[in-house]
Parts: sequence; C-alpha cells; structure tokens
Amino acid sequence: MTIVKFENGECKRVRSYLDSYLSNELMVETNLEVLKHLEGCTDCSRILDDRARIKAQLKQVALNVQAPEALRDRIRSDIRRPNRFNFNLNPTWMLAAAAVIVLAIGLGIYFRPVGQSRGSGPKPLSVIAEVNPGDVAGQILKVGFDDHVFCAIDHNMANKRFNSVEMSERLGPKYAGLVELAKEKMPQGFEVVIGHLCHYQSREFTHVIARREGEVVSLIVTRKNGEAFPAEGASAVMNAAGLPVHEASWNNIQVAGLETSNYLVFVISNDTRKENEQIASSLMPAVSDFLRKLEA
Amino acid sequence: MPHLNDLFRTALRVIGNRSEAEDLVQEAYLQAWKSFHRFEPGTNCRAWMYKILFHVIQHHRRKWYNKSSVIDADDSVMETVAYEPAIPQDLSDEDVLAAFDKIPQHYREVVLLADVHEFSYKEVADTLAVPVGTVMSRLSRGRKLLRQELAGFAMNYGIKEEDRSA
Repeated sequence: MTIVKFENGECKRVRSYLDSYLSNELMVETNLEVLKHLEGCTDCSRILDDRARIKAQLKQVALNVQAPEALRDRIRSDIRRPNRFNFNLNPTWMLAAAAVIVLAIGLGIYFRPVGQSRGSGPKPLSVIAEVNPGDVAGQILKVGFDDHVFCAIDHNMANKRFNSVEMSERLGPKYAGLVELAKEKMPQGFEVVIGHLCHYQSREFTHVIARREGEVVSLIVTRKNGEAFPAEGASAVMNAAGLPVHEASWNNIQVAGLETSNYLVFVISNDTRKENEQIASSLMPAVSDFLRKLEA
Repeated sequence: MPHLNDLFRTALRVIGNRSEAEDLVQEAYLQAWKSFHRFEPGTNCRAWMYKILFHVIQHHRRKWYNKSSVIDADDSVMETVAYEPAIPQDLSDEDVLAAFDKIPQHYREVVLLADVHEFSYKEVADTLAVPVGTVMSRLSRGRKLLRQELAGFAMNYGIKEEDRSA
C-alpha cells in the first residue's frame, strides 16, 4: 500500500525558507525554527539535502570551464588596435588616461613599441584604394583590400610566421579549418605562414596569408554587414566557372571578391590579375563550401 | 587577464553557444577598456565587468532575437506546487547542465550570478539593471524550475517518492 503524505502548513512554511537557510540569510529566530523542524521532519530534511546537493553540483560543473587561449589572444589583439582609442578631450581625460594605464597593467597588456605612435586616430594605410561612390562592387572589394594592406603590409604580418598550433588557436575552432583548406588549394610552392583573426575599422576578419618568395596572397573572410555585390559586373572568366567573382586592382594589388549568404570572401595578392584569378578559382569554391557548412 | 574565465563561463551558460559567448566576452572587454574612465576606483571591478558583459548580452539579444520582454512564471501556479519530488543521487554533470540550460534565460542569469558566482542580491540587481525584489523572485523561481527539470530525470530513471522513503 502506498501512503501519500500531505505536508502540513509548517512544512510548507519551512520549505519556503530552505534556500535562504542554505545561503545563511535567515534571522536567528527563523534559523532556529527551521533547525527544530528539520530534526523531526524527514521529508523536509531530504528536500534540504537535495537542494544543497543540486546547488553544489551546479556550481562545480558551471565553474569547470576555461576560456580558450585564442579568446585571450583575440582580446589582447583587439585592445592593442590603434583605432579602438576614441577618448574625448575633457577635464577628466587625464584621470581616465591614468585609469586606463592601471587597467592595462591589470590585464597584463604590453604597449606598442616606441616609434609606433597611435596619434589621435587610426594611422592612414600605406596604399589607398580610390573608389567612386557609385561603384558598389568596388566599395565592397575595398573592404578586403584595406584589411590586406593594414595587416599583411602595414603590420608586416606577411613577413611573420605562425606554426599550425598558433594558427589554430588564433583562428579558433570555427575557422581553423581554413588553414588546411588554404594549404591544400594554394598553387604549388606557396606556404601558408599566417592564420589569425584580424580587425580593421571595427570589423573582424579571418585572415590567412600564404607566400611564395616575393608573392604574398591573403585569403580574407569576414561577415557581411549589409553588403551585396551587384548582379552585374562579375568577372566573365570566373562566371564561366560558376563563381560570381568581382575583381578590382589598386596599385598593382589584385582583389577578387565573392559573397555567400553571410560572408564576404576575398583573395588579394601582388600577382598579376590572371594569376590572382587562378588562385581565386582554386580557393574560392572550397572556401564557399566551408562557409556554407557554417551557415547551415 | 582577470575574470576572463568567469565571464566566459557565465556567457557560455547564458547564451548556450561557445562561439557567440566568445564574441560577447571579447566585446565586453573592449567596452570595459574604452570606458574604464567611468570605473570608480575602490568599487568592485569584477561586478563592473559583469555589468558590462550583461549589457553586451542584452544588446545582442535585442539585436538578434528581438527578445526584450520577460515573461515571468505565474506565481499562483508555482506556489500551489507544494509537493517536491525526489531528485536522483547520481545525476551526471551533463544532466545538471542539460536541466539548467532548459530554464528560461532570465532565471538562468540570476541563478548563475547568485548561486554559482555568489554575488549578493544587490550586486545581481545592479548587474542586470533590475530591482532587488525582481532578483529575489527570479532566483526563487529559477531554482524551482531547475528542481522540476531535474525531477524529470527522476521520472526517467524510474525513481519514485516511495522508493526514496522506503
């Protein structure tokens, strides 16, 4: 026979105190009342034990997570970017500057070497892409071009080298696959030297750089921010291969751009237009498939 | 980098998506960096960072999910549930997380801040920009919802109250 026990009013009242009892929030008198009740009520004691156990287990399991090392790097990298600084000159500016230095020490951030002045705003790029206001495709291609100039050229990343582990950490699990993809699809002789997350003008880019002697190729992927290439004007060569790729060139730097539902993909190089088209035609279908899987 | 692990854990449990949690924590640090002149020396830096993180999370939620309103559970229904079923002794960590992740976000936030990260009611209220009374009621309801979810595991495991009291 099953005996169904109905709680009396005292049980109900004590149970409403149990969470506060566990958190030591009760007045002394109420605390004593709860203790006294628990001594004689096995049901309420069992409920108290359950609640304490759940609370402890939730705390233990929720705290058993570490932030990925790549996130730490991304934050450091972002904070070091010059155009992140936008303080107004006001009477409290000096105090704010002092506070920022204190935070910098706290965060373990190192400052840029002397000689790389931040100035009052972002440093102008060494190569400027001139685009007519009505040239929609040109404006979009300039997004990838500017990041290539900012990162690969002006910050000299093309002459640096990360190992595979560093690239994976910097790209994070979501985009790390782009490195292997680039290694596989880049023409023979190219070496993938950089894979990281990069920022320019408050925009995040996944940036993979490959080199072959003096040739520098950037594969850049960034989330769309409302951009859409015009239906007309895609490269005839690429269109024939089923890839609506748009192209432009500034200062002998070639840019090819493709869009997926959520991303813009750019291949930028200091090669000739034809060579850049060949690299793009090898890379872009695979990158496009990779991104479609992310979008799915 | 102070508090990074705690902020990431919090964002991950609130948002439930690792990649989005990383983005939100990154944005929180950048905002903290830019607005550090507003930080009052001598106050709790950890609480200040959490406040920024939840501001970023709320902005993200409004932007992507258009979820600005909170539908609190009906007190009258909750309070009539006097019976509290048994919860299995051998719940795995995954069971606890799965049950916790089923709780609506606004309750989850408060339980996380109060029970996991041990903030005071006042600090939770400041962090989430809600009154202390709201914190207390959401905390109470959040804990109840978690217990109900976990009790569901008891049913799945075939554990009944009479088994426990036998």
